[in-house]
Amino acid sequence: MSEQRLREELRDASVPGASEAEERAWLIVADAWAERAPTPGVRPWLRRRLAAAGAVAVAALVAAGLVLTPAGAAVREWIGDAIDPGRNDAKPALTRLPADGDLLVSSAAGSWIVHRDGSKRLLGEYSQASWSPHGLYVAVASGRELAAVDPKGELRWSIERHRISDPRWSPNEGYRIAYRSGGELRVIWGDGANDEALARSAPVAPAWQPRTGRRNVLAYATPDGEVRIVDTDTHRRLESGPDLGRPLELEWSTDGSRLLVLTAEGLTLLDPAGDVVARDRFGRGTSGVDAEFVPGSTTVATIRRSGSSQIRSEVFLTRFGDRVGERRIFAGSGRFEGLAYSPAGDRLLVGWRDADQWLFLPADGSGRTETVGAITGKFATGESASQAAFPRVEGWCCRGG
Amino acid sequence: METASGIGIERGVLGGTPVVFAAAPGSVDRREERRLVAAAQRGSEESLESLFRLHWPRALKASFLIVHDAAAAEDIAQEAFLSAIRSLDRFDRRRPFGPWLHRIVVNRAIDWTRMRKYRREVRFEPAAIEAGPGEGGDGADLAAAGLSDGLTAALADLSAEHRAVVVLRYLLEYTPAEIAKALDLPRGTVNSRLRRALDRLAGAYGEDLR
Repeated sequence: MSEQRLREELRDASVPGASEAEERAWLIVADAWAERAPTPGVRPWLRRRLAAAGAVAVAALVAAGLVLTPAGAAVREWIGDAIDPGRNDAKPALTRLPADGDLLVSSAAGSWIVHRDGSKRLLGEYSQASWSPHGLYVAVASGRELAAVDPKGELRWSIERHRISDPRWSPNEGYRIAYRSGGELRVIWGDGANDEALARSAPVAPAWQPRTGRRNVLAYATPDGEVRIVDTDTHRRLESGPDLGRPLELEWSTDGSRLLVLTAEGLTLLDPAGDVVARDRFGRGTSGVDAEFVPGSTTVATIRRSGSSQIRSEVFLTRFGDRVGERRIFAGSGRFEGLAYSPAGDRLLVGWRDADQWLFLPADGSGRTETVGAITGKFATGESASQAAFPRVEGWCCRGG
Repeated sequence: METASGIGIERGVLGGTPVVFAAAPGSVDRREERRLVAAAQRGSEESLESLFRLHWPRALKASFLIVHDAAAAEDIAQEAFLSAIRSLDRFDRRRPFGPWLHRIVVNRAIDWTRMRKYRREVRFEPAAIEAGPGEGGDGADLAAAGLSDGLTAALADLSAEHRAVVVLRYLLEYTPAEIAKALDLPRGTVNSRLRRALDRLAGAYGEDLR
């Protein structure tokens, strides 16, 4: 027996989900093969095969809304695409936001608030901004200054420190603002008091965990790429997440139950203990740019970019559960930058930098998309017009317009 | 019929005891494989699919038995295939395709497991792997693989490097010399790893495996 028994056991072992994995892998391998081999008929053959095999399944998936694939799978399905080389129906003026709430926007001219009726106010010459929990104040940063202003731009307090960036106002009752100063992560109270260093940080904005009551719990990335979760009042490290390479963005779900880590390679969802509960890797040659939780859910919207000479961007919705399902809701040529959900979660603002447009997508990907053009000029003043950087959407807040 | 390693009857030398084994079930007909590789190189996707179907099950299983995580094993096998087909045009079809692919799979699986060792990705269930070194999956997938409890625990207790030589030797049927080549190791290291692995596995079976 001996070695023979070992041989037989290994031979008879079954990999959970092997047959489904084989089909997924074959589609990906065949697709890659078709792309590398421009043999006439290869791609039509694959398409015929996919069409025949998938017609019934596609109909069911369309009905189901989202395409489900097991975690770890790299299969991508394109259902409900809205591929658009450039929209020519963009409104020339921002006459009205298509959903309740006020937008916070930063451009070369400074930070702005855009109200529901389309009117806007320049808060001052700041480069970054963050809403306070109820939209009563805004934390703004520029160069050496961190300040709190009200929505009319009235200064409440300010401090000076070295290279201030990424202010983030806590959504909880504790009223804290986290920010970065050079490579240092710092926390200051909402009244401008008790400014103190917390840790060394990677150049990634920290993320406050919502719904922690009076506790102030912050997630941040270390210079080594490790994600840490700390109580900022006690400085106690609550959890350490995995080293995920180079996080680009951290964000908590609105119920505080999941922490999203966006890297160029994919999405990773952590629980409050720092353990990975799900991940979704992007396709080859595709990089993550921005990500945002759909309010009140663990579904995530992402901007992904591919191509070098001809850049193409896509917006995906990724639903995390026992299995990961994803759906592309918009695609276009050029660069998309910036995502923001309306407070009610019914609209998703996508910045289309190369078209100089804002897209207001219906949150579920179906229905009419509203588009506003010439965005850069709308947030430029005489002095800043020549710099013409595409405005960055900092948040879409809770106040009714 | 030849084995995936290209050798029909192999004389094993583990522990100094000659072991004769026939071609493993699921092994590959070299002539057919060569034909498929040639046709795929000429652009036949049908031949590529045949080649894929021929090798995928064992590539996936080999990866899984090293990493103990079904999703990761799928990714690793898939990446190995993608890597292989990207280089297929340059592939010397006088050589067997399997060892080329398996070398990629096994080395990627070892790399993944090493990386995981430093990245706490999954909360381990102590009941699943009591004595595990924490290098593989959480054991839930492995427990569903139909292996005996003893072998499950023993595999979990081995390092990825040791699991790799066991998989190459007893699942993919490579000789120690071929394993040494695949893993870029001295043959003596392969033999010692096999011996050490078999000692551990013997405990699981309650008998001498050598």
